[in-house]
Amino acid sequence: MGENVCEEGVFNKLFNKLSRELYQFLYYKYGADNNPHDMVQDAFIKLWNNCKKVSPEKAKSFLYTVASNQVLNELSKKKTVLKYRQENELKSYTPESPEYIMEGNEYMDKLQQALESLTEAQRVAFLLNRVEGKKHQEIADMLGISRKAVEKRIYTALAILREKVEGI
Amino acid sequence: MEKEEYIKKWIEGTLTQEEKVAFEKTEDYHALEKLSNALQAFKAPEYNPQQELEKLHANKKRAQGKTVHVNWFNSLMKIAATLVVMAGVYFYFFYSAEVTIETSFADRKEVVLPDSSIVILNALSSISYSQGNWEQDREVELHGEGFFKVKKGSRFSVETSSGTVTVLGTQFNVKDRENFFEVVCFEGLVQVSASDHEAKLSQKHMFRLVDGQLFQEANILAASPAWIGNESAFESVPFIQVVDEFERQYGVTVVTEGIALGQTFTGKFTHGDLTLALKSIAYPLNLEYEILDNQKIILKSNGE
Repeated sequence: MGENVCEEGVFNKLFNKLSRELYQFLYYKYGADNNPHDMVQDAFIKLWNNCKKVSPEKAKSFLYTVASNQVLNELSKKKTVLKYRQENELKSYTPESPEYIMEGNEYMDKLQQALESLTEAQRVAFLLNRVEGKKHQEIADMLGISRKAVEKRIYTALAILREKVEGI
Repeated sequence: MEKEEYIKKWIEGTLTQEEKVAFEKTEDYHALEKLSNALQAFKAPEYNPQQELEKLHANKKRAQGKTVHVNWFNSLMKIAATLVVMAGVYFYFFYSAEVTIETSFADRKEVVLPDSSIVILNALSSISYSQGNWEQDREVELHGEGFFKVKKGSRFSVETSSGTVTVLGTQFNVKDRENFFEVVCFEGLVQVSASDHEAKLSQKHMFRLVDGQLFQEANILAASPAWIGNESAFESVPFIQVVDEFERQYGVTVVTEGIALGQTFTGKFTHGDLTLALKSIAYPLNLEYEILDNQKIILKSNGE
């Protein structure tokens, strides 16, 4: 104890430590159209306003709870949209012929739809692992669930994606 | 080893060297590699904590400024606090390349905001926003009346002297005149906070404060404000508001003689024909009018 979130130094440290992961969590959970940047801002403002009640140790779970509730409150919550970047898309496959490009686009579109069809819980665990390279234990700590549960989510997500993308 | 086992171990990254070699020969492996590579394109955009933290502190300061303003009731302190806030707001905008667009009497302007949202300003109104900081600071300051068509996905707020309207992607009209504050939502959802009142307005809902008194309505039939169609329409509004609007639309001075300005008026007047417009507001209340010259009009009770 001793440290107090109301002290600007402590607050700034928490922001630097937690904001990026919170952003990634919100981005993969709700997509680009629900303004993850703004949601991180709002969550930290709430933390600041409640700094007397929340200890530095509890700040993380406070932020994740507040951020998730924000979206639940907004009636206008938008469909989760995950955008992919064109330039990365074909790097690993030879972009020689128009057929390849078309096939590539089709693959990416299918993948996008498949990702959007996952549950929020599956998508967050899966993308944090496969795209951000987070370890299963790290994700478990972030989400406040067991490592086993994280693994199950990732595995299920992968099976669903393959089924939708490859038609297996 | 079972196929499933391989995939599980692949996910965990716990395949041994021999297992890896064996697995790489399977079709599963190629499908998974392709998927893995393709997924990289879905990576979240870069996040810059330093920049975001600066933004947060700016937001925090503004939020604190408002609380101070609300909590102090000593009138001298209130004036002092208001001046400080105003100076703060002034300098804040001054240093971040503020854009201001104004309309004069009988005027109308369409403003396209940096995110291509549209604001149509009614007569004698103004709107300000900071062009350079738009991404960080999606906030417009409105004096008077404006109709907002906000582009989907961009959330921002409209600050007026009477209250704040927070936008969640929608079409709405804000009218902030002396002793009169009205928000009508035509599409989507807006959040209004003004003095002690907080409200979420969905489609067709209206929020109105007249001299601090709250009126709400849930069934607005129009699809856009009447003034967009060159008329001013009123429903149960104090007559003084009608007269003020008339002055704004025609650039005239209206002198009233012996009329109860607090009585409510329901009706509308056109913006294109002064005489016809005068009749529309005078006759329902049994008033007489006189046009002295093009700039001055007298309204008084009809016969006694």
